[in-house]
Amino acid sequence: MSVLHSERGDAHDSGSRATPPEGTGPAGHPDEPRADTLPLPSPAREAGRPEPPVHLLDRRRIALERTVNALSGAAIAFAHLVALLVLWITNAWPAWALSLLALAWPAVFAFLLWFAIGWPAIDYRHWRYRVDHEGIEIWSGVIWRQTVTVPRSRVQHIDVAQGPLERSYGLATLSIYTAGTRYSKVDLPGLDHGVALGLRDALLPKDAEPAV
Amino acid sequence: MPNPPSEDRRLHPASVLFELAAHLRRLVLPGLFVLLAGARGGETWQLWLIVMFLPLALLSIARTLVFRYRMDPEELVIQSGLIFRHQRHVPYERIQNIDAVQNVFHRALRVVDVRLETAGGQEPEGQLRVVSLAAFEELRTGVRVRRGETVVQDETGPPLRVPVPLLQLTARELVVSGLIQGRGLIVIGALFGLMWETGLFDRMTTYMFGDVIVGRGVMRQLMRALVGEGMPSWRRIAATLAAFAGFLALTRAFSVGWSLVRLHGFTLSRSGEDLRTDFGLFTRVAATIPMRRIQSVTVLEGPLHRLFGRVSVRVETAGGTDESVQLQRQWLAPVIPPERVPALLEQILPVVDAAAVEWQPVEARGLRRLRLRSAVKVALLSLPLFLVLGRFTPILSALLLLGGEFNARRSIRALGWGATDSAVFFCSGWLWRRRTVAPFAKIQAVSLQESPFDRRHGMATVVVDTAGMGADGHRIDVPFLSRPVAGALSADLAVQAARTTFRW
Repeated sequence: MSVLHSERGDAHDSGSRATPPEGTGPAGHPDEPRADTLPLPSPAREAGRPEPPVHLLDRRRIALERTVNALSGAAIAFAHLVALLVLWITNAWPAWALSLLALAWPAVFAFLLWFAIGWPAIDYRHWRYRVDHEGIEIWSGVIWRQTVTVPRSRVQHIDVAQGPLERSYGLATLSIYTAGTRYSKVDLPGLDHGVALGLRDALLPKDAEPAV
Repeated sequence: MPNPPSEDRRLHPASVLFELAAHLRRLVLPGLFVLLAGARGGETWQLWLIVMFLPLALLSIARTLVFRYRMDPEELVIQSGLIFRHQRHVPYERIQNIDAVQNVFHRALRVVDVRLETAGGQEPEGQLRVVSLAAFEELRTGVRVRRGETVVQDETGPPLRVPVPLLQLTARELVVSGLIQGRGLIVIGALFGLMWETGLFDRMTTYMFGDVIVGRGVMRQLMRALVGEGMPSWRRIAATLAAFAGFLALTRAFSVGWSLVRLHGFTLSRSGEDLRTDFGLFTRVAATIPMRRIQSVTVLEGPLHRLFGRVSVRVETAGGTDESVQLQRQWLAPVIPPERVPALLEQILPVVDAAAVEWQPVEARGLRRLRLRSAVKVALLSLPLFLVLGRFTPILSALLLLGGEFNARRSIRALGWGATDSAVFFCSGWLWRRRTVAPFAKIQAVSLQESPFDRRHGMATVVVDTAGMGADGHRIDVPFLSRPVAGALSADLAVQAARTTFRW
């Protein structure tokens, strides 16, 4: 899998940042060292097999997310402004409520601005993924963090989807479907389209044994 | 075994009757409504609606007549459709369950309503309404044989397998089951709704109590009394309490009746690799669950269960989210003495050694977080409470806090997890205690979740996802694990799951 990524310009970035520290197991944020107190045997790790590298998403995702958040933020700020104007003209709200709403506008605008410019970079840093012999692991979330592991044999099918904006950035979203309930669909967004296709082929079973 | 494709099979001639009956049943409620509304309003357009339904009914009868199915070597082929011809291929491998439903009329005509279920999808993949008993047997054994399962060949006749009974419920057990499960509420609700709709209810209350005493009024008076506007009379309170107790007794009585009728002659048996449940007095249900389709097993023990010394065992299978079917199949054992559970588990999940599990507690530090949660809830509640109750709020808030503390202590102690070399175990709840086991081979995905609070306390939640975990199912979310334990657990579960192959 590392081959896939090293072809890309950001390979240097993902390689240097994301190599897991010694002893980082499949689950657990790679930033943090993890104690290996195992209630169960883990032959894969005990065998000392080299663990494949952890990848970051494509850097273009930051730009994509900035565009998406700027567009939605502009819509919200505009709606807020329109609401203010309408309420002011129709005199529907008491003066104090209206001024509160007006005062809130700069704060909301500032938050939306930050959400469009600052947030995508922060969010980007918290996305990781790794494909190994067992399956795929995806780390995500800034405030509520989660690590999802889907074993290779549980992958039902995989979609590689490109929205119009994603296409203009050359990005794609990999959707992994399982037979599960809550994780019936696991998304990995912000991948280079070629990388996403490669991941799909790498994850789907090679020996075409009918799974169901 | 060479299996030549069978020739085309038709439905039983009586199918037309049942198809008509289904349509009529669909028309009964709107029809009643139309009659009532029409009688009042004198409008006739609703009646025309019914007339419009008639061609639809005729069309469906025609559909029944052209319906065909046949058993090919690999799949069941169902042909239907009058104008647009549909051909549905259902591979035997994908068939999750073959259910047969027989109500009184089915039994009188010696036919069954067969439903074939595959994973996913809200409704049965194929419904054969209706086929003769012989055709059903042929279908069932045919599917098994073609799946490549071993079928014990009886020397004289058709393939036969001897089912091993695992659980049989006597009438006494059914009474207990009815008492525990409180199904009567549905019956009461339906009756109440009917009485309300027809206006019987108003007349009855006025007849029984006069205009003055209505339960709702007493509640309101009680609330006023707390705020300090004088107590309602004792007679009224007594009447309300008696009515409430009567209501409870009535629901339980109905529940017992429901249980006796619906689960009459409940038998759970194992035949080869399938589990079978047969039950029902008027509507006989025979549900088949292939054992390898079982995704997880949950043992439930509520307060009433403890009173009677029983537990309930429920299984989750993939697919078939249809409510009524779920109901028929999920309660593998509506009531069973707890000491018989290990033996039952051994039968239905042979790969899992439930006796080997060593239960692990979650972090005791989680208590502080539960306590905080209940405190926040009480704080949020106290403002609206203050508006209603005024000066009584502190007392009530203190009581709520105490209750929260008690609940938190019990809850944290009730949480536990464990793993053997083949399955993961999880238990939670102190009042309604639920224990769930999911074999590694059925784990679809493993997730480790950290909320901001988790990270502050160095904790994490491990979520184990399986197929067919309904919204009301006991989800395997192990909270309040210390971060290293959670990391190791999720990593190991993922590795263990990856080493098994999942088969539907």
